[in-house]
Amino acid sequence: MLANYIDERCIRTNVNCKNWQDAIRAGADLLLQAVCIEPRYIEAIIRHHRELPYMVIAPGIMLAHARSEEGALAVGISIITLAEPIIFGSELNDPVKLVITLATTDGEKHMELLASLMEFLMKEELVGRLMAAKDVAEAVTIIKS
Amino acid sequence: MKILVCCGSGLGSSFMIEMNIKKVLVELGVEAEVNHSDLSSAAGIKSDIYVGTRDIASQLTSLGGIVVSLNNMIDKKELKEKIAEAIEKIK
Repeated sequence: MLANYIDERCIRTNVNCKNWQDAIRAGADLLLQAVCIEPRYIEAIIRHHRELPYMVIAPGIMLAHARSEEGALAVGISIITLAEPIIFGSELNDPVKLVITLATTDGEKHMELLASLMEFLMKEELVGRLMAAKDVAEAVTIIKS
Repeated sequence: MKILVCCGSGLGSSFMIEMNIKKVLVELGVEAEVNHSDLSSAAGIKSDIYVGTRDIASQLTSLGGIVVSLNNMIDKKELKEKIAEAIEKIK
């Protein structure tokens, strides 16, 4: 399950951000601190999103990631909820409330993480509760449930 | 039948959609080969159906297959309906 792959230190709730770049940095910074990525990985995500806003995968959900060769050091995931929903430039899925950042190195662990993330995201009610979580403890409880 | 799922990096969302397509195919009782790739490699992988999220799908139309455009990547109902429709067109 998803809880097996996420460290509590990589979860933040109700983060204040000015714009989408800020929100991407806030999520990716947690992976930088966890030594899952190099700083250039963050710039790569921003560049990809500017080219094509395809990473807003569902209403309110941004799945931020770059390629493994763009500075990923280890498999990692961070989850932040935004205090105020932010416009990311997605035609159908704006505004974004949940930013999930992935560091992806190829391989089996990465595949297992993606499978458990998909399993979690398809539980609509849980995702709604996560978006509304008041603090990290509540978010962790929801992810573990 | 070959189905190719594409995303920008070929690592994240395309693999997640591929997993769901495999489940949907079982439910529909259809056998097909499902793969995933990044957008730039897609042209070299000949397929009957190309699947991508909306922003990606608009770039897949020149590849010669049927294009399935997904609005919401985690909506299995939308995926099932659109995949079933694409398979019908091939039959």
